[in-house]
Amino acid sequence: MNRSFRLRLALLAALLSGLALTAFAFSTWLLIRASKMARMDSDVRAQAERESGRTRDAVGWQRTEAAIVSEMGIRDGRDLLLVVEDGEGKILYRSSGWPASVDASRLPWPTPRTAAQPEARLSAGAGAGAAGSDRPKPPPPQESEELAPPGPPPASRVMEHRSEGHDWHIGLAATDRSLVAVAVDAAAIAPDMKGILRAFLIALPLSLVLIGIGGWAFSGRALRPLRKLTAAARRVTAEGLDQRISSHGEDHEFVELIEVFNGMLERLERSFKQARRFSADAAHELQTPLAILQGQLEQAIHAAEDGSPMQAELTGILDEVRRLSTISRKLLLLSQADAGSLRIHAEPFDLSKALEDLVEDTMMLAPQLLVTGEIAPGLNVEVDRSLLPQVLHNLISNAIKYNVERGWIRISTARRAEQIEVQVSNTSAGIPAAERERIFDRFFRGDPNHGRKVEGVGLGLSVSREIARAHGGDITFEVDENNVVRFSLLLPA
Amino acid sequence: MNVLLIEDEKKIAQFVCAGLKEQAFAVDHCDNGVTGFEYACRGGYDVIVLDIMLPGRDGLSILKGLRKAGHATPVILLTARNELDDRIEGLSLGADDYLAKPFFVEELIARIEAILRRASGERTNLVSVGDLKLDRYSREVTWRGEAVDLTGREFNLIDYLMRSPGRVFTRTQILEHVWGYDFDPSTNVVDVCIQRIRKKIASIGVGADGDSPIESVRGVGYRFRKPA
Repeated sequence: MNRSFRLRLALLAALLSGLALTAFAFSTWLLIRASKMARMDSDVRAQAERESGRTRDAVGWQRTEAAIVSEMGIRDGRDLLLVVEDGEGKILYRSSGWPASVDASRLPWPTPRTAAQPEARLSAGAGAGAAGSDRPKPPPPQESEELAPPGPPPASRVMEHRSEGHDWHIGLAATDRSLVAVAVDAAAIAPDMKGILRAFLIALPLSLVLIGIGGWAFSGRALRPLRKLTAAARRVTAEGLDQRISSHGEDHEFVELIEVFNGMLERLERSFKQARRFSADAAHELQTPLAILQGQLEQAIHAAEDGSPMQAELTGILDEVRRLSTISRKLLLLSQADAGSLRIHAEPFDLSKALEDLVEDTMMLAPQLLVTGEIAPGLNVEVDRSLLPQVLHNLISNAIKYNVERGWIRISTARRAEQIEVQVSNTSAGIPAAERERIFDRFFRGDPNHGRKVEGVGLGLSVSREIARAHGGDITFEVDENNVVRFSLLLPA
Repeated sequence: MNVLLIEDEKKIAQFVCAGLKEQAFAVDHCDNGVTGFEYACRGGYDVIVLDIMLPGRDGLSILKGLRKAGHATPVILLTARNELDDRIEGLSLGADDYLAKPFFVEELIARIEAILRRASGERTNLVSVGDLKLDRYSREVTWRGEAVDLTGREFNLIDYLMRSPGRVFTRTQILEHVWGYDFDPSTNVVDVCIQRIRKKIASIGVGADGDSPIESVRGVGYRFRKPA
């Protein structure tokens, strides 16, 4: 099966842009995820810092936990944990979901700052005041039981802890009074990432389809000059060499191709015209002297004394002149067929009668052979009356020439759906396989059986086939295992 | 019978004129298309023999002009044989017949006679030479009153010879008239056919073999015996 270049172009476009889009989507997804993580980290740190200076009872802390959950936009409350210790390692509050594997007192708590080292806080760059401009401002502590007493700002850090399939991002903040840890599971951002992924999964195939369609349309447009060339080449076959392709409005790469193609056509047309004119000229040049020769010989034969040696000699010359004109005629017929200009003048023709005559001729020509005819009556065809008889004569003369002693010839007809078939079968000495393919070649003559000289120049079958084809028919041939040769002439009914 | 020959090749015109005159045709000859067309339009011809390649005005244009002007005079075209397209165009333009070059003058005469016969529209057409009679219309043949059953080829052959009793016809002339131009010229089909006709006539049993109406001319061909 032939591949379509256009389809391949469209698929290639879709494939390449598909790869590029996938890479882009993947890296975008990673970037979004990383920035969300970073934001989550800074949020937990900010929350921890804010809460680290406060003192609340257990209920207050529980409320604070819920406030942080809603403030950070976390959908599942279990994704946030809160631990508060006082300065001596006593746990003031611990979320119920706090993993047992994590001992809160072993967390890498930062060292609480003393009032004497405010510049360290600034260099950490993570203080609540310093970060206030680019981080969501903590809501006013409406329900806080007690305002944070003034003191040095908390020390804070962020750590990551993986356990039991959770990836906890923990913000730790310490003041000299309490330690606060706010832990958020990375899974908290999963629903958002899933949403983004889903959007990509919908958009990607959709854009691939669009690109494929676009590629198909575009390559169709790009291949248009090629299709024009194909159509023109087809027209050349069907209508003749005078077809040209317009290069108007084409891109310059194609203009060049079209010009080369047109140039080739022009050259072909010129040489075909020359060849045809040559054969017409040659015909005229040959036929005129031949006509004069023949006419004058005819005249001389009639003028000579009947039965005189002179008359017999002139007759011999006349035979040769006839032979010469027959050969030149067949050659010219073939050259016309080659130029594609073998036109026929179709007239009604009584094929049955012509075949009956043919059977009679065969009997006269080959009395030593058994000749039979099975000809359906009333077969009428539309053929060229000057050309078709040549074909019939040629078929029987071959059947006689290449027959064997005590052989037979059968001429029969068959009516097909849209064709009439004339079959000429005969016994033969066999045709070597190598010769079978060449049987319609010009100047090919089969090896005569028993060294007998076979007359003719080997143009008959090729001329016959050209004539049959010009009628919209054909000649086929087959040999069976008994060396019976059968030629079939097919004519449109 | 008046024939107009329009043919530029002098030598061809010469033997065609000679052959036609010998058969008692009156022939006018033009060697170019322009005067040829004038002659043709003047009328008074039974048949026009028209070459296609002519100086001045070509044969097809003359034919077209004639038919356009309403002249129905039968026209036989002479073509160089490969000019198939000319032949096709000529026939569609209203030519009555065509003859390919090279041609036999005898054949041209036979064609002219056939056209004239067709034009006359006779229902019977009896030819009688000596003891042999034939009817071209019913295709019946009698020898001394007895019917002879001839095939199509045999009838055409004897009809051709009977046109000019005593005149010798070469095998190729006979072959071309009866079997057509394209029949393999090297065959002996003419001799076989003549023998079959002779046998059929002899089998009637009236007269000896020496009486055969067809005579052989050794090395040349055959002729119909001229009645004494």
